[in-house]
Amino acid sequence: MSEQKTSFEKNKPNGNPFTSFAWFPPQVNFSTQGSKEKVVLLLRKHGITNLGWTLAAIFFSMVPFIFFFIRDFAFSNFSLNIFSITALLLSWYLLVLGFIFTQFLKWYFNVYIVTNRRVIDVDFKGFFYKNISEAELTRIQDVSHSSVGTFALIFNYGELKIQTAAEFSDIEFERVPNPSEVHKIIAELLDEVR
Amino acid sequence: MNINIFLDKLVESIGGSFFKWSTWASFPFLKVLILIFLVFYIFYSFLVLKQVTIMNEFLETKLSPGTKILATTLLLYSVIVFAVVLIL
Repeated sequence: MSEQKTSFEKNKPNGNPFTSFAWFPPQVNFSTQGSKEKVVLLLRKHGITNLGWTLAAIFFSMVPFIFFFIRDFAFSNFSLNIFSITALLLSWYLLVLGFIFTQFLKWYFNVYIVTNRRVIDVDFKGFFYKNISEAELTRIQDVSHSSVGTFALIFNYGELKIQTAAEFSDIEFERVPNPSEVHKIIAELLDEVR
Repeated sequence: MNINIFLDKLVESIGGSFFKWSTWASFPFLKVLILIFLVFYIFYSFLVLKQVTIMNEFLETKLSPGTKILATTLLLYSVIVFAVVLIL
């Protein structure tokens, strides 16, 4: 009878900086990392969760073209001189660029880190709000995961809830890819520390 | 539909007879409005760069220099747009 492989035996290190699921990511360090602490997992929200703002950004980029195309049909005698149009176009694309960049960074910096000692949840919900919480593996009492909705089923992402001792706040990983695999990896790490 | 007449009436109904679409659409007035917006946007871009720097100090990844370059580009672009609108 063949033995079931652990996640540590199955997975290979993933160095793609844009990935949502990085196993032993190289060149990833955080400021409070201990000398013998290793980053086992670096997680972000599933890439498909960026679809909404990507489509919005494409639409926003096309708005000036749409406007100039329908202008002659919909609005007669619409007058703006060339300087106004240039200033408005430059400002509009500045807004669009800022929107794309802000949304990307919100996804990029909103990370969940699992090390061989603890789990860290970096909530980065915009440039004026961030919250970093962590829990030692030894303090974790229960781990559960759920996957709700059609998109979550198709693209295999979901929520992972990590319950800690009462005096510490719970940690929730939102829309992470392959939640059952993440659950399994944390369970294996818990087995090691206990 | 004459959009200028429609907008004139709309803006007048909101802001009284002082404001007219033709006033809003005139370039010097529009220019001042855009410049005020850009001042705030430059400040916002600066905050973005500051926050990106702080986040990169906390979490260092392969893409950390790239995010800082992007934030700096956004700040530079907003300053360039401000300068161009000012010159126009």
